[in-house]
Amino acid sequence: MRTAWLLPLAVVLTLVAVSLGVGPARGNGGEGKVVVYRGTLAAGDGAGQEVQFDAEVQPLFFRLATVRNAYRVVRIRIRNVGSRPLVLSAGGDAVEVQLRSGATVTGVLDLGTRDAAVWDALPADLRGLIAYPQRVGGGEEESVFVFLPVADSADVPQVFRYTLRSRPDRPVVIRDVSAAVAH
Amino acid sequence: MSTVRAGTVALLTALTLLLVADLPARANGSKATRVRYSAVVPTGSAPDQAWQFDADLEPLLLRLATVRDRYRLVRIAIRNTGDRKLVLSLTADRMEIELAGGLRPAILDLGRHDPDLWDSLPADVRTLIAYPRSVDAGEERSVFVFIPGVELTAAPLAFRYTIASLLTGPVVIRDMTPARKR
Repeated sequence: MRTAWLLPLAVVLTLVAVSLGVGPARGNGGEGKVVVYRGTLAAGDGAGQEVQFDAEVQPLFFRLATVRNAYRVVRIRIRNVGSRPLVLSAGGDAVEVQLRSGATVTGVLDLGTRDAAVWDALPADLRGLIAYPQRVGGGEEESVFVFLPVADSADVPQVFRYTLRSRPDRPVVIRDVSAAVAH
Repeated sequence: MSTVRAGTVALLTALTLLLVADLPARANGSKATRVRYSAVVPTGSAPDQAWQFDADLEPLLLRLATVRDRYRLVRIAIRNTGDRKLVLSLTADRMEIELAGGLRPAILDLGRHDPDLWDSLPADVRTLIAYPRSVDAGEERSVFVFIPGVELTAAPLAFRYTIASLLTGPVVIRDMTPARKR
């Protein structure tokens, strides 16, 4: 009886290990490994206003899957933890992407304006879903889709530098934090 | 002993809920929704001995990005937590996806189905996405599923994976996303 607690403990430890991704050894080189990026925009006015940015890239998918053979795409989720809206601008916001190779690529945020041929070829409902949002309300979450020309983006991103016209003094740096997340 | 069992059930329930739950609530609903698929084939008497099949996709990105405008790509992770090897066969195994309109064949052997595309991929990519021959005890392997056809308006409901060495029928890897997340 004294050892009866060992079984539930073992089961619990196994489940925790699985949930943390430290289960069985990977057999084929971890090709499912995901790169995680995070960044924060704080108002700096003492009001506790904060906007969180995060993205995930699966390197194999990033290399293989493209939008009409023209762009690789990364979704950046923007989560406004504060109460005031974050104003976005399709024409005024910009994103620069530094790849692991060190090269820098200008990302496209407003695909409809920048590449009408690719944009118009997408289904109408999909265009509505990926259109650049005008704002992220307080307590809300929105997604921004960053399009990288295929010819310029053979390598996986390292850092996204996202500049908002409404906050030009505070560019958001969204970094690869995979190593920190894994530990 | 019954107290221990009750405690075990409570702990397992709580941990299962933790495993399937995502962290924060989405404010704008569908855009960032992930769909998670899962199936378990027990391989021994112990509850942790199993072949675990998992897939995870974002429906919007699945629609948006394709492989050369010909295929949607989904990765299925197979984790062997038991002590029995899972034998796979490139020629005999099959994959179908279940959509609202019915079953549709998918491709496991891209090299045979579309040799031009396969040969055009970088060698290291071909190696990474090649169909594995087995999943040994304690290993995790990935199977890459190519869904032909350009248009796909919704995420699959399930993946029906027929493994020739498994005589019990296809493994149905179902959408296990908690309902509140959709």
